[in-house]
Amino acid sequence: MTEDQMAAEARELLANVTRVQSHARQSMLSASWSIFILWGVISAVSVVPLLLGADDIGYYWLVAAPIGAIASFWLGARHSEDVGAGESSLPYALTAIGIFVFAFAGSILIDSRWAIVWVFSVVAVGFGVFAILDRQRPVLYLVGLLVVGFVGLGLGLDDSTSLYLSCALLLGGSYLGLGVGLRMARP
Amino acid sequence: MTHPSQALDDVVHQRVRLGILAVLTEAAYADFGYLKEVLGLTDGNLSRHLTVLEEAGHITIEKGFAGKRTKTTVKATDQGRQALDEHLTALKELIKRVEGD
Repeated sequence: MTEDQMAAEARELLANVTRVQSHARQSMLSASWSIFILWGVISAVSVVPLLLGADDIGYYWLVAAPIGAIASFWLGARHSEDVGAGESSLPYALTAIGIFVFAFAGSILIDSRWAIVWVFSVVAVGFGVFAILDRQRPVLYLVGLLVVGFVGLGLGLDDSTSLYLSCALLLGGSYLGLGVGLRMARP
Repeated sequence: MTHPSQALDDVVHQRVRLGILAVLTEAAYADFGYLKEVLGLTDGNLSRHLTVLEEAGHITIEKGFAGKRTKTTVKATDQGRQALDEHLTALKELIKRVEGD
């Protein structure tokens, strides 16, 4: 075999590797839309207790966040089972625990409206880590915009209730939009 | 300087086996049926290539049950991941060498 023939074969093999890896990635990722929609709904619905006059939204999240996390893992596991391929769940579990720890610690340690900005930013950055694990780098742009948005709202709104409502609707609306977009773009 | 083709691993340097390792480095695990579908193979053909890779220590094969059906789950070993990395590097070197001429 000449060097040219060997190089042509190498090119074909590399193209095949890229094709099957891309296929594998796409088929494993196609459940992420449902997880974004789930968290979009959880975030958007969190404004309801506040609008109904609840003083502390922390109780909502103490219940909703673990349920959301369990539901997310169930959606991911069911999808892997359906597809027949999946990724290790450990990095995802550690990221979820990290989100809980940092968000919870911030909500206790920061005694001002900036606690709201912190918690929503931690949730957004946490989903950024999930995006890195999923190799969905475009999602990182949304994460960056969300964090800038939360800080901007923190600077512009003095009232904690208005700030919370704005942050929750921004996160909820963004994740719902992203989830619907990913669902529609699904192969 | 050695020729890049000398770095090619005979076990890995085969379209189907390279494809199997490529899928298994992207996914932590894959079922037999999934590999068959992605790579467009028959049961016998896939089994034969999986056996070669398993004997070389590049993959592990676990057989179990999903309900009443048998389920074969395949995973790449660290050695298999490294073999794929080295092989892809050698292929790229080979292309670079020819294009550089």
